[in-house]
Amino acid sequence: MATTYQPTTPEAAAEEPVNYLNVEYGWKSWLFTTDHKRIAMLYLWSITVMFIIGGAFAMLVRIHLTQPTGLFPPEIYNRLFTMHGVIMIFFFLVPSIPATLGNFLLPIQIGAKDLAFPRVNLLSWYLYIGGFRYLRRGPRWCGYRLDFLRTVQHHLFKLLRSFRRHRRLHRRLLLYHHRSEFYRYRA
Amino acid sequence: MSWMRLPLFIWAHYATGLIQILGTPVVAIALVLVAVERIMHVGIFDPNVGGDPILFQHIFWFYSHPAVYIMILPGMGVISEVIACFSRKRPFGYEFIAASSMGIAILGFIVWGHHMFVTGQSVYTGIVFSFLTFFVAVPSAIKVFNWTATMYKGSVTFESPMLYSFAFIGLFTIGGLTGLFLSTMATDVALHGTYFVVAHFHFVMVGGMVVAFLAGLHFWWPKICGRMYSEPWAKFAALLIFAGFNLTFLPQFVLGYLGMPRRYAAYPPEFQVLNVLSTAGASILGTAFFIPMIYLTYAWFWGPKAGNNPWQAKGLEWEIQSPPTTYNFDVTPTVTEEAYNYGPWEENKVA
Repeated sequence: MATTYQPTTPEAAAEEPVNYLNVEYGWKSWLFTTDHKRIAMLYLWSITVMFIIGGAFAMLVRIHLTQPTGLFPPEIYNRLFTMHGVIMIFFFLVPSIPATLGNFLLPIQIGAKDLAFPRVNLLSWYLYIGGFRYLRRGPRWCGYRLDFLRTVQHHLFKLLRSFRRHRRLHRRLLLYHHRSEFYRYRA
Repeated sequence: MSWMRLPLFIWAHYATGLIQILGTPVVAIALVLVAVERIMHVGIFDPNVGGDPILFQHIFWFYSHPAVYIMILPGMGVISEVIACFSRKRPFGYEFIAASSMGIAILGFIVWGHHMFVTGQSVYTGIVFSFLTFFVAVPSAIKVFNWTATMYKGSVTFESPMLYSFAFIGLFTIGGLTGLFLSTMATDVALHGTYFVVAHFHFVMVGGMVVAFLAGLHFWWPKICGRMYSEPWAKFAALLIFAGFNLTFLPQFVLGYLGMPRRYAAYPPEFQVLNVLSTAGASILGTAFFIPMIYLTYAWFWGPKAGNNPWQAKGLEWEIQSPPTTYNFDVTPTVTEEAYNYGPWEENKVA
């Protein structure tokens, strides 16, 4: 773009010129930063972790559905797809492009030094991380005071133990799901 | 910089910001109302204490329908940037792509009733929402048309961000067109709550947003960390994600058409083949998503230096150092032309 602007880099400076990544080091320089680019990176790593967790729930849902009767008890299946949906929508998809690429590029593409209100920008990341605490277990008043991750983990280990114990996998899966007749689809 | 020189990525974020500011308070209010109901036992949504559950659906979808545009509009902005760069052309109908972002943002607020065709709203209300939903397909179709028209007579190259963009256009078109099946009241009565809906929104959310996110991440990764990733691995991952995605979600369209309901823990045995196919695709897709994580992280530490502008792109972000300095610019730049000055077609033929 033909602008009056000149690139900041001194041509023959040090091997690695000063940039937002090497200007300072240490966890404090990341957790207390107000640089929109560093906040974008904080978001990038957080949403990647959330994508892996949400993807793991998706895989459990798909594994459950390989059997017509399902592998997990129905109430656990409900939790699996609910957690998949909630994590993927609110912890991955909504922040994905705006909070990472948008955070990083929006000021640069319009020629600004940072976003407006950089501290609010950092606060939004802390609120996002704080929100994850209520994903595991809701507050008392909400009525769903269940520890999603722990119950899912319990049933997953139970299922894996049953895999180990029995050679006839298929039969065992049906036996594990001993209440399956009750839930079986009736045409 | 003036409004009509803004990159389309900025226009998309402007529209997204508008929806977020107007939409998110609505779901926040809904949650406050739920808290008031649960704590103070005031009947708002729960019929046991005199509330109306349909009211919750209205408030929920009044946020959650615009929320799907919060999710897809930034993806459309990324795709507009990537396609312009790798076609070496100004986006065809720049003004229309920008205006259609705003059009989607505004129209997105008046179509929430299409989620509630079978919750007992009147047929007349359904017809109005159905018509408005068809109307919101127009700006999305304008975008898809303009992207393909940008590539027409462009000097198209097939770097990995562009492969993701191709995947985006194809998958988003399928996702969008099946959305029209669902916005038609007569077909929605049959398809509502089936796997057809699941396949539809995964085509838009995964085939659209996640793929666009990967396109943008690959496109701007040399700017973010100053280093280049492995292009062969990136192309392999793009193809594997595309294959795994289709194997996962195309069978779900068939399952939905055959009438398998969503959210049920069990299903009739005749649906097992398609479900196992879908699970097989999901395992390919799940594996494929780990490949970019690995080679992008590798590139962050050990990749070759990318230089300031590896794609010979024209936006302002490519003018500065990569990775940028803390305050991006020493002097606030004066922008005198738009971000897509790729020059005449002949000049870029070799690029």
